[in-house]
Amino acid sequence: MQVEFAMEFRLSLGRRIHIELAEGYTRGAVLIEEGTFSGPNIRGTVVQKSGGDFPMVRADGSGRFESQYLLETDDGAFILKRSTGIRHAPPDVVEKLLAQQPVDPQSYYMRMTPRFEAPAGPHDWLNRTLFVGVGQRNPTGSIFRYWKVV
Amino acid sequence: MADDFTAPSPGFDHAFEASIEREAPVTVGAIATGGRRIYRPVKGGSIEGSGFCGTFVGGGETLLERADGVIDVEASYYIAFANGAAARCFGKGYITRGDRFSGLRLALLFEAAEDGPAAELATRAFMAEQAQGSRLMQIARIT
Repeated sequence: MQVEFAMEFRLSLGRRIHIELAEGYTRGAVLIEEGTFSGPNIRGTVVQKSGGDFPMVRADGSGRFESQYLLETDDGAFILKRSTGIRHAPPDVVEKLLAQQPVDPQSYYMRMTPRFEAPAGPHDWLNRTLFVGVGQRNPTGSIFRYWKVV
Repeated sequence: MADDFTAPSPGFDHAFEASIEREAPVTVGAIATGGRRIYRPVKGGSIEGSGFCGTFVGGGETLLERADGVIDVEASYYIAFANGAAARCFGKGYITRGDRFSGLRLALLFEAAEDGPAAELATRAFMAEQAQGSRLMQIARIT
């Protein structure tokens, strides 16, 4: 298996909600304000108010991601994007991440595997392709890059 | 693209080789929401790599044959390791036929006891591939 670059997402994040499910287990909700994506033969925007990321975060900061939102391509297609992922980092890095302080992206493990539901047409290759993603938080939001598994 | 993205590019490190034995499929049939639903229970098999050796003790693959010829797969495998640890390996993927690859590919995660010898598996994401006609599934850690 190898990877080929597929697309990059740039998201600005809105309201953050935390649901304390039990001691040490928090369901987060990070709603996406707006975003753009682009890659070879595809580009567009995130449909506003269409979703966000809903991570399960542990007391040590490790977590599982579950995100869902809609995309609209520049050629008029709507695409549903769902993603699961995992984050694992040393405690000091987690502390900075949770405090939204800058951290070295090389200092933590954050990978996701998105899936897409696209209409028949030029983007339907998304419906049969697996992807690997890497995320990076910056002061204004998040950047994700996705590579297709080939 | 802007050059402010400094996170590492992903890759794959070989983690496991698995041989999954499957029972005869249970066919539910064409369903109202589209496609044909099939279930393949796991009856056994082995997995080895990354210092682990184990056997498949349960689980299965839930398939949806889609109208476009692709088969959606939801997998959940239960593994008993020789060192006494147990784990659930689960994820989603596709069975496809194409020029570059034909077979099953799955994006996988593990669940394991946090205080057990397999805990590390739950801190990483994995990608699996079983080529059409092969009895072996190669499972790689996503780096």
